[in-house]
Amino acid sequence: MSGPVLDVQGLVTRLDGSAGPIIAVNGISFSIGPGECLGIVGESGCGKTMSAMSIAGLLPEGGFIAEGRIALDGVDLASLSPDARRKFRAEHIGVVFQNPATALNPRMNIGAQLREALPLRGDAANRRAAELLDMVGVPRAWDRLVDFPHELSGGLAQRVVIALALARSPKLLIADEPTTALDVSIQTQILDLIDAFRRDLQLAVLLVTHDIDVVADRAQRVAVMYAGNIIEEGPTKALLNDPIHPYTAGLLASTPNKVSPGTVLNPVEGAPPSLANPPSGCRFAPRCALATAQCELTLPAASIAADGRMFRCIQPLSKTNRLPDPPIDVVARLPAASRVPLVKSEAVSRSFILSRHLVTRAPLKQRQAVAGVTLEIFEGESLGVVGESGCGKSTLARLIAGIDHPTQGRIIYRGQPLSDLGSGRRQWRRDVQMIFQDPYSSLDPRMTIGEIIAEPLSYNGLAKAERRKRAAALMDEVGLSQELIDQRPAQISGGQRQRVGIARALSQDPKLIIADESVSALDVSVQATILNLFRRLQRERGLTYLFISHDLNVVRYMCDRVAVMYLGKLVELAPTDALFRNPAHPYTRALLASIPGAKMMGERLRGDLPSPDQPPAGCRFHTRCPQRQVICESIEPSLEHLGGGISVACHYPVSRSQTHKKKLENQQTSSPYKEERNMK
Amino acid sequence: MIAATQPQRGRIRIGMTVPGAIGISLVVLIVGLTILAPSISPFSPSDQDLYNLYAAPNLNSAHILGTDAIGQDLLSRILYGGRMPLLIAGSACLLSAIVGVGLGVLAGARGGWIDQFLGRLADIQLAMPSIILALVLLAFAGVNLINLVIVITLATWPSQFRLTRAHAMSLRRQNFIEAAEMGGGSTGQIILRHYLPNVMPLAIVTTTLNLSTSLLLEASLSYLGLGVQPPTPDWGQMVAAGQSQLGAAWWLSVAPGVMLMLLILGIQLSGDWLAGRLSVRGMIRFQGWKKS
Repeated sequence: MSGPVLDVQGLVTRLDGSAGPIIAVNGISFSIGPGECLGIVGESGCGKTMSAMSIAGLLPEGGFIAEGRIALDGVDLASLSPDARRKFRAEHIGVVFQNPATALNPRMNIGAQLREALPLRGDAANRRAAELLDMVGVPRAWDRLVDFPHELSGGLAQRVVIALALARSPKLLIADEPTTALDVSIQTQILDLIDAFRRDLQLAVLLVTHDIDVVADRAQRVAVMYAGNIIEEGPTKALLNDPIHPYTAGLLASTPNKVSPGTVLNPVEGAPPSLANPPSGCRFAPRCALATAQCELTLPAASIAADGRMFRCIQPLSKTNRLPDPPIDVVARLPAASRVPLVKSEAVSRSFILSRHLVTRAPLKQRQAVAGVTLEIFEGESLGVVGESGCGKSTLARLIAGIDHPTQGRIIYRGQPLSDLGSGRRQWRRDVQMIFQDPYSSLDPRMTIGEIIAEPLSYNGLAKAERRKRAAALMDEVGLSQELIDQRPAQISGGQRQRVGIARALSQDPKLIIADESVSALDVSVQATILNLFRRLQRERGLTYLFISHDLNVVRYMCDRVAVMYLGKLVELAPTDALFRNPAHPYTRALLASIPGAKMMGERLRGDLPSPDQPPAGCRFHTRCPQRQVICESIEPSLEHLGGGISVACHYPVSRSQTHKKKLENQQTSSPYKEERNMK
Repeated sequence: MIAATQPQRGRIRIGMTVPGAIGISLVVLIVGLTILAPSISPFSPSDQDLYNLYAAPNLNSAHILGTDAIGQDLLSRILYGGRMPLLIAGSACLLSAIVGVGLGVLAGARGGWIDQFLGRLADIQLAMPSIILALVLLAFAGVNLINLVIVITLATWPSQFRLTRAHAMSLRRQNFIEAAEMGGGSTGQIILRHYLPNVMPLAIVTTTLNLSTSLLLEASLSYLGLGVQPPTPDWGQMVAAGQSQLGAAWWLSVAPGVMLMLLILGIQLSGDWLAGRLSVRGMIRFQGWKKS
C-alpha cells in the first residue's frame, strides 16, 4: 500500500444556519499517508474542527460539503451512495473527541458500547472488547467491561474512546483536540498512545489542536488554518523553525515557551475575521504587519516554496522580509523582589463537607482541598502555583483572596491575621484583588463595561461622572478602546472581557493581584497580549502577582518563584529557574517531563490522580512516585528548606548534590525512619 | 452555562410567535373589555328585565347572551364580572411577586439560617392545599377584598420564592458576584446591583404564570361562595349560580366559564412566549411550575 490514506482536494464546507450561509472551510487540500500524523492548528473559529468533521461525516445540522473531493483509501466518497458512504466511513475512520465525558453514553457500560462498535457478536465480541481495552492500556480490562463511564477517570475514559475509535481497525484516526480536557500528565499518556498506534498499525492520524507544542511533538506535517483556509502546510520541523506565512510566525511568537523569560511576547493583534463576512483579499491582511495594498485586494493562491511547503501569501517571510521586532522589554522582570512578605498563608486548610449524617448532621465525608499550606508572597514578586486539577491551587487562591475562609490556619496580611485587621480591613479588601478564569461569568451581563469597571468605586461613594472618567482612564491603561464603555459583555470578545476584569481589579489600586487561570480560556495570541499586559502593569504599578495556572509554560514565562501543589499539599517551592532546571521533587520532575515540547527527559507520570476525598497515607504522591521507598507509604514528609530558596516535601528529593545518593546508601544500612530524623 | 445569565441586551428583537400573538391578543381583548365595561355594556349588571327571565342567547334581541334567573343581562354581567377577579388576582399576584422574589433573592444570596428558615416556611406552605387554607382563613377572618388578596398571596408566594431562590443560588456561584464582594460591596448593595436585575426576567415570567394560578384560585373561592359576594358580579360566582339550571339554561354557567378559560389560556400563551423571549424557559420547566 503506497498512496495516501486520505486525500482531500478543494474541500468547501458550508453551514446554512439561522445567521445565513457561512463558508466554514474554504477550499482546503491535503493528504495523509499511512503511519503519518498531520496536525491542524489555528485559533478558534478558523475551521479546524469543521474540516475534520467534514471528513468524518459528522457535520452539525445545516452543514454540508459544497465542493471538493475526499478520497479515503483511494475511494472517492462522493461516488458512493449515502448508505454505502456511511458504512465506508464507519469502517475506515475512527474519531476521538475532545471531551470523553460526553463521547460515551452514560447509560451503557463500556463493554456494551464497544460491542456495539464491533462487527462480532457474543463471546467473540466480549473477548475482542477486552483486547481493545487492554491495547489502550486500561488495567484489568476484562473486569472493566461492566463499568459505566462515570466510574472511569478522565484519562481512562479517553482511552475507552480511543478503543472505540480503533474497534473496526480504521485506516484513519481523527483526533479533535483529544487532550484539551485533560491534565498535562494524562495528556502525555494519551498522545503517547495515539503515537504508538500510528507507528504500530500504520494509522493515518489527523490531529486537530490549538496547541502548537502538541503538534511540534507529535505530527510529521502541520497545516496552519486561518479563517477557513490552510495558509501554510509542510513538514513540522521546517514550518515551526522557519515559518513562511506571517500568521504562522505570529502564532509561534505568542507561545510563551518559544521565547525566553523576560522578553516580551510578540503576538498577532486582533482576532480572526467572522466567516459570515470575510475580507475580500487575503483574510489575514487586516492583522498582518506586512500587509500591502495588494494583499487587501486578492486572495493569495497556493504557492510552493523551495522546500516543497505550500503557503498562501504574497508577502512570504524571508531573510529580507521579516516581521518587525517586538519592543524590547528591558525591565520586564523587576530586578529583585523584596523579602517583605505581603501575604502569608499559615498552615491553612480548607475542607468541604460532602455529606452529613442524616440525623446528627455530623460530617460523614469530607474533602480536604487544601491541607496545611504555608506560603509567603513577597512584595513585588510573581509567585506561580501549579499542579493538576484537584490539587487545591484554586482553593488556595480563593483563601488568599479572602472570598473563602480556611477551616484551619490563617491568612496573614502585612503581619496581621485577617481576623485582627480591624480598621485596616477596608484597605486590605482594596489591596487584594482577583482576576478569574472564566471571562463570561466574571462580568455581570446586565451592566455596561463602564459600570462594571467602576463598580468598586461606587461602593466607595464616588459620583457617577467621576466614575465614568476613572473607568475611561482604566480602559486606556489596559488597552481597551473607550468606544466600548457603553457596550455590554455579550458584545465584546473573550480577550476584551478579560481586560475588563483586569481594569475592574485595578480600579481599587491593589497591591496583590491573584490571577486564577486568567489566560487559560483564551486563544494563544490573545493569551500573549494579556500576559504582556500583566507584565507592563507590574512594571508600572509595582504589583505583586499570585499566578495560578496548570500551564507550566505560562508560569515559567511570568513568575519569579513557583509553588507546586499535589492533592492539597505544597510539595515544592523554588525560584523559577532552579525549579525548571533542576526540580527536586519527583512530582515536579514528572510534571515538567509531561510538558509538550519539553526538552526535559525523565520519567513521565503514570496512572491517574488519586481521589482527593481519600488521599493516600504517608506521602500523598507515593502511589505514582517512581522513587518510592517503604517510608513514603507511612510517614508524611514535611517541607524542608534545601537552601537557595528551594523547599521540598520529599524524603528523597532528586538533586544533583550528593545528599540524595548518600541518603539512598544510608537507607540500605539504617532504618529509613531514623535516617529521616537524623537529616533534620 | 445557564442561558438566562447571558441575555442579549442591547438589541431588542420582538420575535413574535403565533401562539404568543394569540395569547397577547386574548389578554388585551379581555382585560380591555373588562376595563371598558361601564361604557360598552348595554345594561347595568344589576338591571332586571323581569319580562325576560332565562332568555336564551339571541343576536337579534336586546340581550345578546340572554338573561339569568332574575332577568339580568348576561353580557353586561360577564363584562363587569371580570373586574373583581382581575383586581383581586392582580393585586395578589403583585404582592406575591414582591414577597416571593424579595425573600427568594435574600435566601439565595445569603444562604445560611435565613435560607433554611425561609425554605422551611415555604415547604410548610406548599404542604397545605391552598384551597383548604383559604377556606379556613376566610371562615375565621371574614370575607372581604383585603382578606381575599392575602389568602391568594399566601397560596402563591412559595413557588415564586423557590424559583427565585434557585436562580439566586446559581448566581452566587458566578464570579461577578465574588468580584463585587472584592470590590467592597455589602450584601445589600450586591443584591440591588446584581441579583435583582439578573432575576428580573425570571420574575416577570413567573409572575405572569402566577396570574393564571391566582385567577383560578379566586374563581374557585367565589364559586364556593367565599369570594366576591352578590350582587357584585364575578365569573366564579356566576358559574355557581347557573349550575342548578345547567340543563335548562346552560349559557348561564358556560359563558363566564369560557371567559375565564380564554383569559387563562391567553395568559399562559403570553407567559410561554415571554419565557422564550427572556430565555428562562428551561429554568421553569426544570423547576416544575406548580399548578393549583
